[in-house]
Amino acid sequence: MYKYNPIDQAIVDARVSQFSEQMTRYLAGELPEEQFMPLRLQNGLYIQRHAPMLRVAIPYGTLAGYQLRHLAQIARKYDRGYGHFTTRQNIQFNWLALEQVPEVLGELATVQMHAIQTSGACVRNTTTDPLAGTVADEAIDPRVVCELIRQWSTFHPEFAYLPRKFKIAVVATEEDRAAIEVHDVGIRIKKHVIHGLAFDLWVGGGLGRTPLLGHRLLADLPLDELRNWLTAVLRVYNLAGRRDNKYKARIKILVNAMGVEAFREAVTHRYLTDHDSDLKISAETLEDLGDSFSCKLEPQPIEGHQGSPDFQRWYRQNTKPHRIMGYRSVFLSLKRPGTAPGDVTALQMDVIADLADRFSQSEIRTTHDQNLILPHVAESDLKELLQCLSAHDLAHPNLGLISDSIACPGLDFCSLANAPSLSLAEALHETFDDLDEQVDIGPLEVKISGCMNACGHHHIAHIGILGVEKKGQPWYQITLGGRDQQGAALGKRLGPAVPHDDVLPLIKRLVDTYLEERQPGEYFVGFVDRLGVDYLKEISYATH
Amino acid sequence: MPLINSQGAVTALSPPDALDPTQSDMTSVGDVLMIAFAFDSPVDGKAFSAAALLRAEGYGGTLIGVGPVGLDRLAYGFRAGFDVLELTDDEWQQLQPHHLSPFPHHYQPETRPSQPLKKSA
Repeated sequence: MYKYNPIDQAIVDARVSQFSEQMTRYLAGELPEEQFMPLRLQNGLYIQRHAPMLRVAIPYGTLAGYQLRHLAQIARKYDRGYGHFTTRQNIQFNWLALEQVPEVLGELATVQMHAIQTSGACVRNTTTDPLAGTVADEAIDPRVVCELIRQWSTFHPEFAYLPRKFKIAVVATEEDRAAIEVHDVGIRIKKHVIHGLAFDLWVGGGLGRTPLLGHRLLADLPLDELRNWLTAVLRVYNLAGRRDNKYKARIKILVNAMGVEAFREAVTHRYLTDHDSDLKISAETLEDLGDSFSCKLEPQPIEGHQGSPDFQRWYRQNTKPHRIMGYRSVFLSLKRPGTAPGDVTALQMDVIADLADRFSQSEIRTTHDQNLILPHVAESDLKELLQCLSAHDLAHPNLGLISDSIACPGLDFCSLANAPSLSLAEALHETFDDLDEQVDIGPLEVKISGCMNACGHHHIAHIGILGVEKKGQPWYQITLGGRDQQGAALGKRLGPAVPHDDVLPLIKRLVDTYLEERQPGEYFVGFVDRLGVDYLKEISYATH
Repeated sequence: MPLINSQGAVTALSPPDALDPTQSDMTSVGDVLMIAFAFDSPVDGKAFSAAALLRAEGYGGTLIGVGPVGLDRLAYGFRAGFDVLELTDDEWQQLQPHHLSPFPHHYQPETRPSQPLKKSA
């Protein structure tokens, strides 16, 4: 995986010094809160319900074993012994002391990590396919492009104070495992007869209060011009985006206000007028970065999934094929009963780091579904790996099933939330506690957001749950039929909001109806498409 | 808001009115000696792009940023192409060299330096 060069390290070290000085001025009363807030946010530091929260960047969701081990040390030394993996492939610490944050950043810098631009109105961590580099059909390892975007966007003098946050996702396969259509900018890299490598670019997608799917703005352009086109998009946004109302400030609002054609015209004008040859991406750069991400694996004998029933279940549910014969990518579900989705203890982090060193080329991936992956495991090691994972509650075989739900921190931690999220995730485990039943139900994504900011991505869930406040009490709206992959769609609202204790009974009725009325081979989301939300509304609310 | 000096047009411009992202801007400001952009708040960064695109198009006059720029945004401003940025008295007292250049390296290409102003015929 990519390792910092001396320039990368010098910049991160300088950032630690810079933020330490900013914190000193703030604590001394020399820096007003109004000016400190954007500075701390651009360093991932929030003031939450109980304590400051620090969001640490995991660029494109790739972690080395030694980095995860250091995150475990930080969790023990400065936090309460655990960390929380987020839907944007980062990790958060929820219980830090404000004055210790510069020290934590210093520790992170020793293992090539940081919190740069993990929040604030700037270009955030670029996310990508968590299986990058392991699948056979990708045009290029998308992390190469993500790293180029990381460098280009880090402390960019024009784009550190945009109208609002700006999120970019990149894929390099037909299958979209990074939800590119619900990002401010989504990029798909593909092979091209003329250009060698080309890209399509979507703009104006996003969730939050105004959920929208992105528009395909550009198509079949040579990859070497990507940074010039991104500069053009960001320039138009920075100059014309609204700053008078934060809820109208995302690029999706600008694109819709201008119209896609006018926005495309403006971007093209800026590209043609301001084109900078220094931003062109050379073939040599692509090759060098490609080498830094490539993982040299020798093909191994195929072992298959013979073994105990538990092994076979785990193999089918939690491992995926690898481009190299005899290897699998192993998913570690962070959705277990009694644990908040995405939470990992310091001990588990140490275990995962050790297992990555032993079995997966020291590499770990984070997913936007809040799980982890050991991407390169030889099939001959799978049984031993399962034993180790099982001993530390990391082998729950529910990947992609109804209990593999995403949830934001909700009212338990977040100062913006209207309603609890984590308790509903736990209730899902209790209601659907039979793994055989979950497998019978099949792929079913449940995503829970505690407020309309939609950090739990409920709009793109097969069953979305949104917390709202009603007369001082938490209630929940249900949406159906959302998805974030091919044929991305936003969920449709099922009906009126229901109180907390009615949510799971309603979902149970929906699922039972699906089990009774599904057609052979029909997944839940296809069932919703076929029967429609109006029909399911009648059933869901029949006994409510 | 045009400001006039004895030699001709010294013009202060505000980005919302002056710079349309769909238009080329040198045609309208190419012979202006000096342009001032206002930062409306400590989080307003529109002027960074306004300055950068003028430099990208070859504008060689003086660019001034006024308003709440702040110590921690000076480096962004100068790198984006400004020549002069406003500070408050308190900020002036606190100013240290590292505020002007907090990082030893940058990932982005340098903004083109100011060119001698070309007088219109």
